[in-house]
Amino acid sequence: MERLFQLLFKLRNALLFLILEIISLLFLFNNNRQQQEVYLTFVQDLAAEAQLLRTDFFAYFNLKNENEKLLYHNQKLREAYLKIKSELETYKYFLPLKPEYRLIPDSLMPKNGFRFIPCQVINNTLERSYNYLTLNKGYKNGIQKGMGIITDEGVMGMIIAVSENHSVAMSILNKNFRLSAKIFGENFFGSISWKGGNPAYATLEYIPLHVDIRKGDTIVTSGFSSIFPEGYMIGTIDDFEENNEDGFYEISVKLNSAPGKAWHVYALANVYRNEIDTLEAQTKIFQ
Amino acid sequence: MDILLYSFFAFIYLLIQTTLFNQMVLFSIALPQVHLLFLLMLPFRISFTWTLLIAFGYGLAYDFLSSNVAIGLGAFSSVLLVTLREGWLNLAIPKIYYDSREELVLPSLPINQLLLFIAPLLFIYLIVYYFMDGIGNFDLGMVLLKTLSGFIYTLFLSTILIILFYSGKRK
Repeated sequence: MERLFQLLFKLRNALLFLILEIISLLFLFNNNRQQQEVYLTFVQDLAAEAQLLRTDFFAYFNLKNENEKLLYHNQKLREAYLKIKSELETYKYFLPLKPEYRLIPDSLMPKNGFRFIPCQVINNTLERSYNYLTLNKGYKNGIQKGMGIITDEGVMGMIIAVSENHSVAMSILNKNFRLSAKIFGENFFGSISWKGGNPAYATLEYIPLHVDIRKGDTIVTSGFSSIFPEGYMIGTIDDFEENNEDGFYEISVKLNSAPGKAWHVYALANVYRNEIDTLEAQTKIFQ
Repeated sequence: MDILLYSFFAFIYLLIQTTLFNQMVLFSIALPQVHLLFLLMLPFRISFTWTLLIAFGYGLAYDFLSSNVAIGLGAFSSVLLVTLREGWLNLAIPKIYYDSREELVLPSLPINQLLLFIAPLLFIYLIVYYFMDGIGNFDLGMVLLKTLSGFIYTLFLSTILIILFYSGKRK
């Protein structure tokens, strides 16, 4: 302590000089507006700089935590990305199941050449063996004969007649309706049709007996036509029988769509349909 | 006794400065700050601590007594002036003129030696004074012009005063 006093005594003139100068400056800055403005600006700038330095200093020591946070957010983003990717894969088969996914731009749609034209069902028969749907869109809206009709749940039918503002579709509940279908995940194809009777069930034929099938397996469109895209939901296996005479299953399929409740449907416009039809007509392979 | 004497001198200097020299501004630029002669000519036998305190009080008194002077400006510059005076003494005045700091009597120096001693201090005082005065509305050209003109004007008048009032003490 004594040394400290000795040191202070030695430096007394320097300290006094500093004190007097500081007092003078305080007088100057407190009593004169011109100098005060500069002083306050300087002090504010100095405080801001000090705050910045302090923030940078502590941020440096906090880098580990920030890194962990970034890793956590990165993981969450990766999970979200995989989930969205998975959902997009799903909607390749089930488009458009939910209204919000109808807003997906064309660039994100599966690259199968199909566009969806929303239509409203204005008439629908269910009680007959040959049922039909009447839709509120015609060729003015881009509807063409031979287009597939789907709902959010599954296949509904196919356009068979078009006027300017309306169109008629053959319902899936029509004995003349045939559709190429397959068991999801398998590469064996059959033909699905409605045999009459219960409108909730259709029959899938021509699936070979050696194929391992189970109740509940999903039946989707095969894509072997320009009407429906591959993998679109039709229904699930409700029951099946083995027909040993011809070597095929007779499979009862519970339809996923409910034609009686369908109100909003989509007409599937295959942008390559004319090209495909022309090519097939030229080669005459499928005629 | 010395304190009363110096206070009297200080009062006289400030009175003359505020009533006479402050009215003698040339071209609204050159202000003769002759009152600084009081600080510059303070005997070195007064301790530096007291010199600092006298300079502070003197500068502050000048600020309060003068109109159009920012309060604190004179005090700041005066404290700086007497501090620099201490260091400048060893450089500007050869040892042949004094044995020890306390024995040095400034008026006894030859006039050229005395002016060589006070002129740089005067210049530094004025440049600091006008620089601080210009804060917030800084104009380097105006600061230099006021400093140079004020310096020449003050030095001229100070020389006359030294010849007139301090010549009797010169060897």
